[in-house]
Amino acid sequence: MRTYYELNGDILMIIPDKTEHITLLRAAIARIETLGGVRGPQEARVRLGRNLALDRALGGGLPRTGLCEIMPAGPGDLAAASAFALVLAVLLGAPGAVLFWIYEDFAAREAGLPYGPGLWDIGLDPARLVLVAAPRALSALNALEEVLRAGAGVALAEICQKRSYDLAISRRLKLAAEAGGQACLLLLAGANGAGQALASAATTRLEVTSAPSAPLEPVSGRLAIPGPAHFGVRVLKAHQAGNGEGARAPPETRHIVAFDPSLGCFVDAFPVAPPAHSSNRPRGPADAGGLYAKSTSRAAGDHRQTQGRVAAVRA
Amino acid sequence: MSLADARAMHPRLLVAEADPAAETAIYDQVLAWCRRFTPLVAADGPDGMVLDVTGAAHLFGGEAQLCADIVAQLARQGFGARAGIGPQPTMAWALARFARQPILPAGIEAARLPGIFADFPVAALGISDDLAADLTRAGLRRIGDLVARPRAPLAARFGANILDRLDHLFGQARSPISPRFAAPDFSVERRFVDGVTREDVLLTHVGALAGELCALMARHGQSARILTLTLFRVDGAVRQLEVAASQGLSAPGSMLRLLREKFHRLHEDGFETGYGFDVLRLEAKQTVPHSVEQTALPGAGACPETATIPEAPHVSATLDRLSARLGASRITRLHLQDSHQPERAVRHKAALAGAPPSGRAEPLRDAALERPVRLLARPEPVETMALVPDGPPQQFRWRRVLHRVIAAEGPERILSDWWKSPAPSTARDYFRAEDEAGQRFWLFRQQQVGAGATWFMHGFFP
Repeated sequence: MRTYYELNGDILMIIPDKTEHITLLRAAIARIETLGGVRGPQEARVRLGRNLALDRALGGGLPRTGLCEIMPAGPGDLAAASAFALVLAVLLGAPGAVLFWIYEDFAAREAGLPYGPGLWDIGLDPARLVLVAAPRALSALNALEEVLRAGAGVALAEICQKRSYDLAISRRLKLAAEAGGQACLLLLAGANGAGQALASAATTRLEVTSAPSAPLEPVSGRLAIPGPAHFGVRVLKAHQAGNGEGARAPPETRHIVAFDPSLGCFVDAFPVAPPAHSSNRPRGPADAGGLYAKSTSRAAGDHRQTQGRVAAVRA
Repeated sequence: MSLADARAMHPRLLVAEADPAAETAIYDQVLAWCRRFTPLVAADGPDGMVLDVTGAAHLFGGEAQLCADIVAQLARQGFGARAGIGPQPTMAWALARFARQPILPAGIEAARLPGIFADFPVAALGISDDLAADLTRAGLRRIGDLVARPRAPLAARFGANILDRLDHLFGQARSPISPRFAAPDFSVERRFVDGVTREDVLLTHVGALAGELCALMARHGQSARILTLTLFRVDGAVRQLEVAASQGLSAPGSMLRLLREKFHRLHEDGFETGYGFDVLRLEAKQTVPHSVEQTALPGAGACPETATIPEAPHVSATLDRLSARLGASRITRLHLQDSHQPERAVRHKAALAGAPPSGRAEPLRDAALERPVRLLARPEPVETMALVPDGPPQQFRWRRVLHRVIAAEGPERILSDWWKSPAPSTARDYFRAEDEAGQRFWLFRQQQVGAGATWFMHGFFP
């Protein structure tokens, strides 16, 4: 089969193969969006970790402004998805700036609210968080747009009712995020596993599951001690990822990452060393800005790392 | 008299059941409506109102005109009313109820007052019906009869109260009123001959009022923390919109933005424009000294145009707008507390009250084991299976899903704050449990008196 494409009146292509077909279409769309005068060709991206496979799949990190949808793969993965989203919010925001967590009332009843003392463990100072309760999903989305348009800070909204979120609203949110120069994170708590079916203008769509941690050896007794948290992340949509470095991983790849509190970013799960105990960590959460400047030094006082445990992970 | 007797006398009598709640509501509505004449309005009994019109009457064409206006406008709303104006609330009260000539001139001498009130019935003193009946039975029908009597025997027979009332009526003692609504610090208003119905026109006028208010406050070096916009509808309905700001408002634009949020809420509440609004009033309720922020030192290199605006006002403007739209209690920030009890370790305080201090609470930091990232508002019971003594459950069922625990850490015993509440202290043993899928939960076991241990789900780890 031969197909002819005419783009901008002057590009004519003949594509013999289906995969090549899709690749060329992707490139063409990317060209339209970058040359259309809406944005510059290379927008700023934020890396989620150092040399992370997930970053490569995203095309060099997450865009600093734009709409990123995060959805749990199943009902039990909401905690992992919300922690992942909060870490993204920290990484995308300016150091020390305010973060907005906007939620509908139902979400708070269903899965609780972010808990201040626990936020330290994912590198977020709870004093930075502003919680906004909205009675309905639509009012939550309105509040989200308001915050984004004002450019007041990175905004994260948790939406349970998937129905009130559609293409038009996602487009509005994306434009608002670009106008305010801030990132918009949308935690679609109600869209368990329905990520492929969703039509929206989002720049990025990630599906997050909780992944089994590498349990630490028990001190005594029968059960092992849970190790540092692991997230399974699948990139369902990554806008303009083709322009970035490296080859794209197939979309069904689930990247297993762990959050490293001492670095304040994600690390690939294999191999992984347990972070320092929370009482041994530096006082504040490591800020994302310092990620590139810092050398590879780990926080001191990491007493629990054992060679046997790492071997157990690899097995 | 019973209803049956009354009906026998007047067969065409109309009967309606008393509805005190509705009466109170309508009374409050009329009271609020009266604020269009003066900000100081006080309730007086079940059927009266006292308006402090000092310095306000000339705005309505003099006292006589004002009196006639009030009566006529209330009549148009379907209320029969009488009005009187006097130098004291007690005099005005008597004049409104018993006088043929209801206005007492402002500069009247005290010596003339007994003569003016001499013909009034004793009920004009504002005494109870029983006392009035007693006085009448004693032959004292008019106030003039009381004035002619020596005071001491009167007090001995009818109580000292009656003398107080006389003194008040003759201006020898002052009687204060207690206004229903606090007087604003600054107030501007606009009146229209006809009702304004269109929302955009109303908002234009609100914007102009905000400009006037800002100019007025700037002259006194103040800015408003709480703004109230009062809309008086032609048919007597009154609606108030109140917005609060975290920092003093001194720019008309920001005032208008906040008020616009509330304006849109008005329609959601089912408030209709009807025949329009004829009075708009904008008041500054709580004012703070206006602080001008200096963005750059003159001559320090950065000229004012290029100096970056600090982010804080940006954020506070957003917080103000969200608070105006959703309600101030819905926008909160997390304040860490010095408590070990998980529910008490954090308090949600309104974001308008200010940002919490950043930094980790030092005493808790050393002791802190890992804490969940989300906490349920109230712990949910969990059905446990295969319990190990003093250990976590091997399996548990929560929200109808079975979880098999493969790793767990605990117990961490947390006692409730026994020094704060008189109730006996309860101990909870917290466990961090991970199931096969890698989902992690914060479970706790609580010993119940006589019922063994119960398990609860309290939070989630990533």
